[in-house]
Amino acid sequence: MYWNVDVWREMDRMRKEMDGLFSNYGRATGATTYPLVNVYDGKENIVVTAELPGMSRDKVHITFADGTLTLTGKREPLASVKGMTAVRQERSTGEFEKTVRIPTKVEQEKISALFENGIMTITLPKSEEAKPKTITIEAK
Amino acid sequence: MTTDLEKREQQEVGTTTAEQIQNSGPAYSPDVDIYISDDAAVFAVEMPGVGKGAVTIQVDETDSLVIRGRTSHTEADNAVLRQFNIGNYYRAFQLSDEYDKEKITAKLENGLLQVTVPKREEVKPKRIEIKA
Repeated sequence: MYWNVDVWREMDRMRKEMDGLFSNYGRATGATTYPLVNVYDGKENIVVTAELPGMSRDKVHITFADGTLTLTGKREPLASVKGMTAVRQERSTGEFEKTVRIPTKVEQEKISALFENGIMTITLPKSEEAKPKTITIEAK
Repeated sequence: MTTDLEKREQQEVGTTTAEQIQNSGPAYSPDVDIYISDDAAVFAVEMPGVGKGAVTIQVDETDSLVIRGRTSHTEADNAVLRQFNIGNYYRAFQLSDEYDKEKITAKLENGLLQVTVPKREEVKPKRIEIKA
């Protein structure tokens, strides 16, 4: 039987996803709560990405306190279709609040965010003490 | 009113056309709102990660409005939490013949695509002036 390499890649991705469920980062409010987020743990930074299509940059508020990153805002109905009849609505509107637990010490004042093509990327630089250390083994 | 916008959607279309194979990777079905008026239909398609120039909108020989988006967002391999997948988008809708397929317009803003398909002039309601 022929197995596409992608099958294995997909399985690996699913395994990582399962691991994610049990990590501390999994304590984000609801896996289906808007907006959906991904969290990446790098050497220097924790990176959080959020899907916010159609949002404008100034309508999203990002705060960080007590190891919790919070995104709040309001999704407004489309102004361009005012007066038209909705025959299908898969997108929702209204206020949202999403929290993501960051169980790593970060440099709070150096947190930055970039909004591009409807994806918010928040970079949280790790504190020196949270960065991985290489221990030198001395020869005797 | 809703029947003329019968939806035809596919979750994974990695093998349907040569073009999609070139795009490689799975295509996701984006969330869509559809609005109609006497003059037009508007499709609001969520395509986070897709930039200008990475969207194609076509009407095929079966009068399907085919919308594709190629993501420019790249995935790092050190994910510790994954709530959304990163990939390309594909969705198709059947258009009835009351729509003018030659006059489709679209705009993409912050990962939200809005496609406007006007109705043909002859099907638009006419306003009849009542003379005194």
